[in-house]
Amino acid sequence: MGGKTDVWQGTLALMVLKTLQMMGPQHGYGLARRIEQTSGDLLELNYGTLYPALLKLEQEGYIRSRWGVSENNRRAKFYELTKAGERQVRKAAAEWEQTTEIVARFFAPAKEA
Amino acid sequence: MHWLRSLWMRLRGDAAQIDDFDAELESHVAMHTEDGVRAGLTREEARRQALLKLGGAEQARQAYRDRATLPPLESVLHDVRFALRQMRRAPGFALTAVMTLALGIGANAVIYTLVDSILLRPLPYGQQSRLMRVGYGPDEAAFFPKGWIRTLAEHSNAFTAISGYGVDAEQTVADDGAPQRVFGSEVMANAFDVLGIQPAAGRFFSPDDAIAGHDPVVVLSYGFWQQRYGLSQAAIGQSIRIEGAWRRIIGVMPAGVRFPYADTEFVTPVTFVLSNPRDPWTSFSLRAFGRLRDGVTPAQAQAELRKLHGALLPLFPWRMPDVWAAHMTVVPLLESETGAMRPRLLLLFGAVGLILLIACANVANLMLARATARERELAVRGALGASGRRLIQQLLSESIVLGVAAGVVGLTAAFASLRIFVGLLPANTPRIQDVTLHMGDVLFTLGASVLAGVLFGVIPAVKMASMNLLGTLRTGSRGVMGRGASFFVSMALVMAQIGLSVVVITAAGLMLHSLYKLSQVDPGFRTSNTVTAEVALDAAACKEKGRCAAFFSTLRDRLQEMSGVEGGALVDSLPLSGLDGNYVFDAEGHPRDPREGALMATGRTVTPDYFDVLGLQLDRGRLLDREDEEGASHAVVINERMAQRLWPGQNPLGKHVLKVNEEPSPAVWDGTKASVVVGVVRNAREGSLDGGYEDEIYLPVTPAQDQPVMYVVLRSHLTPAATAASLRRTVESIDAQAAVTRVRTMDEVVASSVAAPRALAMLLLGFGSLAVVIGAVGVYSLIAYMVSWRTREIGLRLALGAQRWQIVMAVVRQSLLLACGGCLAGLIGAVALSRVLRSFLFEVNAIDPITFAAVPALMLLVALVAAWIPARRAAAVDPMVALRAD
Repeated sequence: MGGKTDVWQGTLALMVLKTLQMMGPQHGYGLARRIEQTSGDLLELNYGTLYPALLKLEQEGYIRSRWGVSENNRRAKFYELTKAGERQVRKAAAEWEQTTEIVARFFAPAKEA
Repeated sequence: MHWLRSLWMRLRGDAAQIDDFDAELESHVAMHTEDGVRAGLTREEARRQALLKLGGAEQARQAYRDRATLPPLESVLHDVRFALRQMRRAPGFALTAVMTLALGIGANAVIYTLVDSILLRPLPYGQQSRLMRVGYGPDEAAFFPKGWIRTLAEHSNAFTAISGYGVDAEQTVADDGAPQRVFGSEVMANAFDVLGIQPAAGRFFSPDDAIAGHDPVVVLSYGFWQQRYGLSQAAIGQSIRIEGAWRRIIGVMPAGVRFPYADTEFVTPVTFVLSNPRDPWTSFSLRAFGRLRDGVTPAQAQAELRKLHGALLPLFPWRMPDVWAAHMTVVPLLESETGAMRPRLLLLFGAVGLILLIACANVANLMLARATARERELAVRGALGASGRRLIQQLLSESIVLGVAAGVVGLTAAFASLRIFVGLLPANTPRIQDVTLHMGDVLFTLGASVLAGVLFGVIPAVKMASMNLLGTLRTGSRGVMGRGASFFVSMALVMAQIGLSVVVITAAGLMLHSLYKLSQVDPGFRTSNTVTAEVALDAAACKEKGRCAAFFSTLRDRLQEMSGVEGGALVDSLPLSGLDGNYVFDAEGHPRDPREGALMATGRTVTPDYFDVLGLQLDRGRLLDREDEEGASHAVVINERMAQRLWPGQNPLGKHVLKVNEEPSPAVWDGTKASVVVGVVRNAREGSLDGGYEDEIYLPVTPAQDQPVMYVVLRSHLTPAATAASLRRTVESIDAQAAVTRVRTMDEVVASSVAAPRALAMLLLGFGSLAVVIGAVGVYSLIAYMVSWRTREIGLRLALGAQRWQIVMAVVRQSLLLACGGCLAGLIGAVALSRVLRSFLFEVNAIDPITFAAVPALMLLVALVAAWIPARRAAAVDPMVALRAD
């Protein structure tokens, strides 16, 4: 149970950070929708798990939050990246790319054999 | 760092955050609902969908709350509070558990403190792990001439430096005040540099100080500086009279450094007489130590020294035997200093470790018994939704709270009793002055208590958490037949306790038996009604020709005139004191190649009455007499063993021996200097009680033997105190400057020669008793618990016509069965340990029949006593009351 959740949560945090980097400040609901859209609706996100993940990122100092007003004139809590968050996105993205590249090599058809 | 920040935020997690989240959740659901409505759903359906997608509002809130704070911490605090409440509710249980465990932990804290202070703590020198003792053969602390040490240092690449120090000698120190006898030693001028220490005041020796004829100097110990000069800087440069010669104080060793010996108060430099090429080689008086070069292992250094040995031996100005120092050894200084104490302390450490295990088993049993009584409480908790993990956590917290409480009590007890334990150790235990409770010891104890808590908590906890909830709830009360299976773990624990106790007391029993054997050893000389004392003039006195000789000759005559004295004699080293002099010699009929080693015996310089006072029996020939003291007769007396070994089947009388120092060159006989054997005495154990007989040679006090220190041996009717006082008066009337010290009866001398085995036996006996007491508590509490558990069954049996004595027998049988099982296991353990114990024993087999019979007998007796009260209680059960209960 633990391993699967960890991977998922780790990935979710990365998605959140990346989305915030692309879109700028965003509220929780908007983030959830956006992540689903970006995944081409392949991801079925339990919205309830998003908030602890956001809180964790905030506790770690990668994002900060403040209350604001949404596009529909609703009071909502907006999240945005901090400086540390920006750095973390770059770092995590690089690591991610490297990991996927390595894994991809195992699945790529052999070129020279 | 980010996780740290996160942890901090969670630690201070506040309620406002949760309220804030409620608002956020509200806005989330509202936005989601609006989107749904916009997509054409009804408001209700849209809201339902939104909540569904969220996975439930309450679940989301819970997940958020868990992340906002540290839930495990909260439950731990809750459990601790709960455990404290439980302890208050059952004070008897808590007290028994805490006290048993505190005894185990306290004993561990004390012994660990000793192990740490004596064996583990680094010596107070710079990079002390690189300091090595250089010795040879089996004797790590062997003696070398200063020239050899200097030569080794010059040629060795493995060592950056090698130095040496002499013996610890009590010397007379005086300045303006009364003379004082203090211990001093000599060290080579580079000793302090090799140790890597800085003076507390002044300076240490310079190379110039090692040249004989230069201004004589001295370095004081910190303690002596404090005691005699009150830490005053003005002491530096002052002069002090040591053994009649003035020396200038140039420096003070730093506090905490006791070098070379624990009681050394001053050191003087070893000096070289430059004009005499033989000077560096004649005196074999220095122990060697050195500092290893970086990256060199002791084994490599040892190999190098052994290789150098052959090349350097010809540097002696005479032909040295090849065997001399042939197998040089390099051992870490710390290891070498703690030497014989190491296995003893480790044995004690093992014993107290077992005691802690016994105590743990005891408390585990108490916990188990109580947990069984709390089965319903736990079943209800389980039924109300507490997870198995949560229940285990709660039970473990209770044990850990107990463990920590016991740790605090045990640590306090250890702190209070540490001095007593130190007092039990022999006075010459290395580093005993430095024994104190260190931070590490405290941490060790607390660690041990927490570990103990986990150890004894884990069995009941797992057992409880895995129990059958429904069954327990349905039964509602105790089963009629007492449920034998639930006692299985408890019985195994008690048997383990008894087994471990048996191991500890078997070890104690073996040591006691060995000590008894030692005390039964006939030393071969008389020890009762005999008082010994050291009488010393200072070394300068002997420079006045004949003064020392005259003093001791007068003293010898006056000893006989003292009232109450039956006989008095002088000797240069007391038997069993461990400070015997070697007599290295060649003997008639034993020609030797100069490359071989000479013969060796223990040499004792004695006045003629020595044989009478100690009751040494003459076997043949004659004893020494007054005329021999003039030196013309060259007479010596030897013991039977030496006669047997040198001249088996021949008449030893009239045979000659020649001390190697008297030989014109090695192994060259000089008949004019040789001594002649005039008598043979019976063997006596003058070397050590547990060793065999040794070759002994008794020499007369001749003018050539002139020396400043002699021991007085007096046989007297009077009390030792009166004899000592009388001796002091006598000595003072001859020479007011002479000091009388170390007054002991011969029995005390004998006893102190076995101080170490006695201390070990006594400590093990103490710990063994502790083990038995804790084990007895264990047996008692289990039996008592079983009896109370079976009250209904017993009532039923009584009602059906069982006799009361049958009930008593049943209970006692149960207890004896436990004891038998435990004893069997324990004896097997003791046999397995016999290899370890063997080296501590004297004339006692490690599988000693007496001990191996007495220990189980004792344990059965303990089991009987422990079962007695519960058995009486069982027999007193009223069948009507028992059956009506519930």
